[in-house]
Amino acid sequence: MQTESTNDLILELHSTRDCMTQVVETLSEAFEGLRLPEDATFDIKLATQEAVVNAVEHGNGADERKMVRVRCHTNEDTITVTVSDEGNGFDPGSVPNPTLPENILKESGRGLFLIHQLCDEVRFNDRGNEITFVKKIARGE
Amino acid sequence: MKIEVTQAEGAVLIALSGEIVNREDQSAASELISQKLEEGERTFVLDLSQVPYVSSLGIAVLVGAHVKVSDSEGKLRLVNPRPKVAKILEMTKVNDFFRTYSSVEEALSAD
Repeated sequence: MQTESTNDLILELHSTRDCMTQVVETLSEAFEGLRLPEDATFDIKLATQEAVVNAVEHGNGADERKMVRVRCHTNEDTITVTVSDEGNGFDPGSVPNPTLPENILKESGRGLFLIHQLCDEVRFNDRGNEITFVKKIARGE
Repeated sequence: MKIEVTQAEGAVLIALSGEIVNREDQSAASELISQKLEEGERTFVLDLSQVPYVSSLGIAVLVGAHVKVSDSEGKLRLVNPRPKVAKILEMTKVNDFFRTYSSVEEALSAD
């Protein structure tokens, strides 16, 4: 793990089943020091949790030798998180909408949907193995 | 996640506590429901008052339980989901599948 400054955080973790917990705990500690609104930090932590689970399970195929990289940058107005894996990437447009009747009772497939719902902006790199999401900070919440 | 199971007034009372954070948590809840259905139980009360929030894994646990219980013509009642749990249930649009109650007693006495 490497911390660049109070507002920047970089984590590199093996694709273990515990790494998601480690990421969320580290973000929680970092956000506490920045005194950010609780609603915004809850949303970004949950989105990060979903992205890390996807990176470990789908991107890296739960291969513990492969790494997941998490970067978090916080400024006055936004929290931006980027999660990347060592997989071949995927087409985010191919992910079915989990709220459609034919998908609503499936147990999986809600992670990316939740990231979109929880964040104000979501984008991918061209390869599809790196997701960046942004949460606006509503001061005075 | 911790799971406490008790038998109460013709229903299986399952109290979850903590965060549902991995596939093992998901499997444990799923296997418990399956086991109780095999034993003939049909009414389940799931106390969520000690679950601080749910991710998609938590939603998977709840949806999985709903499907299993419904397929066996049983009933699944949720008790006291916290605001962050209710928010994700609503966001994922699965809240309509669940009847929620404000207390275990209320859920146990429901029709």
